[in-house]
Amino acid sequence: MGMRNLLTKIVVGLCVALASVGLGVSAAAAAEEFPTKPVTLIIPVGAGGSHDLTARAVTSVAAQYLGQPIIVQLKPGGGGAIGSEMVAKAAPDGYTLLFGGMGWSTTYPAVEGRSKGPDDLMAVCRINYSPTIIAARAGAPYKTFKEMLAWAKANPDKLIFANTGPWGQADLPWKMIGKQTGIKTKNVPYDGGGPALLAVLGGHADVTGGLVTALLPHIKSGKLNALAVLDNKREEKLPDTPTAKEEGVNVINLMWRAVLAPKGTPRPIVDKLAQAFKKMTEDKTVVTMIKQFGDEVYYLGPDEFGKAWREEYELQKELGKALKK
Amino acid sequence: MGLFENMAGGFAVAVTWSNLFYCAIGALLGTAIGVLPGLGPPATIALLLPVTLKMQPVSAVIMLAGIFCGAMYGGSTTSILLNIPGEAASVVTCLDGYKLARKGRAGAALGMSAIGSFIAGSLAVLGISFMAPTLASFALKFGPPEYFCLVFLGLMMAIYLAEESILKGLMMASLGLLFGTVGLDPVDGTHRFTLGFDRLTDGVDFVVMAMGMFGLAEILCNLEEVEQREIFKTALKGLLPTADDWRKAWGSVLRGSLLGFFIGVLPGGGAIISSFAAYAVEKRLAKHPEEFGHGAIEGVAAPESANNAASTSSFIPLLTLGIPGNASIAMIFVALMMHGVRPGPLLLTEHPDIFWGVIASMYIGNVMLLGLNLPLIGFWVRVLRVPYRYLAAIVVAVCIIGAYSVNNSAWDVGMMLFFGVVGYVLRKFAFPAAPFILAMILGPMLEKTLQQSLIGSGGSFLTFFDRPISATLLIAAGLLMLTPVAKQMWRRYRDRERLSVP
Amino acid sequence: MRKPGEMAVGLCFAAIGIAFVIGAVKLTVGVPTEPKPGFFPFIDGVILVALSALFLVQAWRGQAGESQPFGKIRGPAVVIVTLILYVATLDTVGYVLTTTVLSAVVLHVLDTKPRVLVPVSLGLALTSYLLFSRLLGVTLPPGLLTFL
Repeated sequence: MGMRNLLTKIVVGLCVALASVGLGVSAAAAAEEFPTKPVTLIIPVGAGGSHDLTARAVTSVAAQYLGQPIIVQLKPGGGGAIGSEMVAKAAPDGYTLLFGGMGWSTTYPAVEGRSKGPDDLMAVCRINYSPTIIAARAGAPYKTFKEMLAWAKANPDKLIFANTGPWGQADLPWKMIGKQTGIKTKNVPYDGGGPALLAVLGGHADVTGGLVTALLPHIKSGKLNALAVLDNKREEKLPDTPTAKEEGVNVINLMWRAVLAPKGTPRPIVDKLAQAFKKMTEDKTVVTMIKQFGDEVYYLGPDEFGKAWREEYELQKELGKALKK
Repeated sequence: MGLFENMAGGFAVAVTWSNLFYCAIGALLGTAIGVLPGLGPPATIALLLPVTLKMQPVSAVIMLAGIFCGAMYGGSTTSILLNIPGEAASVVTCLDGYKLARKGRAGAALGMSAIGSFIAGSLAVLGISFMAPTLASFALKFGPPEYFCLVFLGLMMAIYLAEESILKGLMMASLGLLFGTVGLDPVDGTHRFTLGFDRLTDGVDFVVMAMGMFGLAEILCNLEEVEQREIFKTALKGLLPTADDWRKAWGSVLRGSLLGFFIGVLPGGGAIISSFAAYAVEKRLAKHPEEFGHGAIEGVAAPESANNAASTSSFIPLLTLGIPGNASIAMIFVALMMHGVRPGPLLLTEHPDIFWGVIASMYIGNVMLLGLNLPLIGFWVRVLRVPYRYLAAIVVAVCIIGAYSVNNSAWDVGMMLFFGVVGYVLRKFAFPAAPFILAMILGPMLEKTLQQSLIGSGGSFLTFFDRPISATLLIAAGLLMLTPVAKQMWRRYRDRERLSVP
Repeated sequence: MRKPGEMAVGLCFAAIGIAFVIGAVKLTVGVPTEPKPGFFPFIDGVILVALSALFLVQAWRGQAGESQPFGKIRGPAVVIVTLILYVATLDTVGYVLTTTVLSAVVLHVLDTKPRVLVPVSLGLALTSYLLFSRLLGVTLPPGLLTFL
């Protein structure tokens, strides 16, 4: 742990202690009573995205398991940086939480040094994730991930990859694949998953990376070929598509959705929240709703997820340095 | 199954008491939020999502589509009455609509906009039912070079939005393009011209800018002359467009609908570009182009028809490809997803009831919106009789709420103030605001598609000429650019000749 | 006849263009085959500077089109200053109080009698707050009036 971290902890600890003495209640008692008022969950990106959807689905049953409702508040801006910073600055009392995602909670702080990462926020729990799927248009001269790599090697700067925006779900893993395999391609930025997909369907680009929910109907209708899944395991809905790891390229890209709290939130409160979220994600109506989005619940508690998040952050920090040349 | 059976099936789905009820609720809500600039359709739909969970999927979509189309109808109301464009697609409506209102013809403008929207909406629904799949493949033909040329063409129309001086119009357009680059670079995400403010990484929101440059700037201008309190002529002539208005505008409505329908199919700026394009086309074809910008009824009819046709046809990429073309449609997409219906190439085979039900309900929605909006005109016109001082205070408050609600922050209110002051000063020097706004909205698209095209072609500009669609669009842009310049030069030459004759 | 006002505006346009050009060069411009972040703003900036120069020449010759004269600028100036204060205090003081003051200033500038001015401003602020935050779900800062 860094010096700064330690200092922050001491300062925060002191503040909490002082505050509780002043109010005449101990921190433990505060945790026991928590929550006494509605909890605010800030989503730092726009309405209608997979984060918004998932958060709304999960929190719809919050009152039942937490004893207080969770109010979802959208604070979009700066690709998630604005909302992240708000939560990082909020009182660490468990009443202000952030809905984290890989972009604004790992990649931006690790690669660009903006927004807030694991140094300023702490993990409560992960709700679920979706892996990036690499898919090619049906007419492309390759049908598998290996064939694509071979083709790209033989034809440098010919393959057109449509990414979903700088450092996004498709750009980052594609850069990692390029770095590992040495293939040279044209990496064209589009305005999100929809336009990138449209470019591939229209034949203006050859390959893209997207989430299974968006790609599946087009894979089913034969307009797209799924090449590889960037996960540790195969995707249930695409049982015949290998993972990149199986094909010898160690790139994993999981677009996760998680609940984060300001650094220094007392442990009992974090545990209480994590327990409540676990029960919410096990609720039948929530499970069906998330299934309908095309996702699954992959709950991960504060310690396991905190560790995975930290590892991902350190890895991308290194990557960012290497990829930026 | 034939088309008529399909449509009949669609109507059978849509015409139940409960669905008609939801359709009416949606239309009413949509009109309301279209009039209140604080809330856009995407935000409202997001707000209502949890409610729709308990409804049938068809009913849910019917209600949300009603909101979306209703907002398009309602959006023109504030443009005409108060010079506040509620959304990007009704910026052009301000130009002539507000002038008409100040001449005491608000009723004609509102009526033309409602009836024009109805005609356009109906034509577009017919268009969708006949050729949705064909249009989807048309949309797919548009790659980066085609988009670049289309946006470029749209930008050239800024010339037609300039009232008198083309030079001023071009200056405002290039200023808008520059302001549009504030934020993240589209290719590598570098921060540009953000001056260290995190708030600027997403650029400046349209609502904030438009409310400042139109709404607030207008108020500031009117605050100068305390004596001149009668901003609107009190004698309000007729609540509906006259026969003379119709004679002038029926062609504009049809051309606007057509343009809007085809451009609206393209995801992205469809509705915006089409409204500007329709205005430019009418000004180009008009016998008295000098009336444009001073209250020409065609200047309301064309863009309003275009943006309504476009909002209807923007359902095509969603229903056939599963790709939402704008933020509101994205929310409808979400609603469908929450019901386990995934729009896309399989929708027509898996859920034909939803596909045709939506189309039928859009038609019903149009009829309802007309029925709702025509009687409202009398009410709106009466609003203008409120003494101006109260109206001014209300407009300022509404602009503030609208700006604040974009990101729930005072920052945006400050930005609106900034644009209001800039707009006020520039207006004094007769610099037109519309080209600035158009350029600022289209700038990022222009840059992105330029970079995409160049990366894709390996840096060759030939890619724009190689492809038939993009080449055609470029030639059109070139002609559009040259005609007014040539005209102006000719006029100046002629004037000089005349002056030199003693 | 020269037009000093137009010339000042023209100079502002040119200055903005130059500022963007300098900024674009700092961001690196690149070449058409490999555009860098400064590429697009650089071209725009140059165009704007060129257009402004043309405009300046016209203004110098006195042909830069019409312009409305500024009227009494006291009214707009007072409202602009109030709005600046408004933005600065909105989050802490809250929507209702700041909007009441702002509306009062606007109404005052437009010659409203003090008797009507206060109730109207307060009424406008309160109704708009309740309408938008209660009925339409727009979050507005309550500020000092926490009970709202």
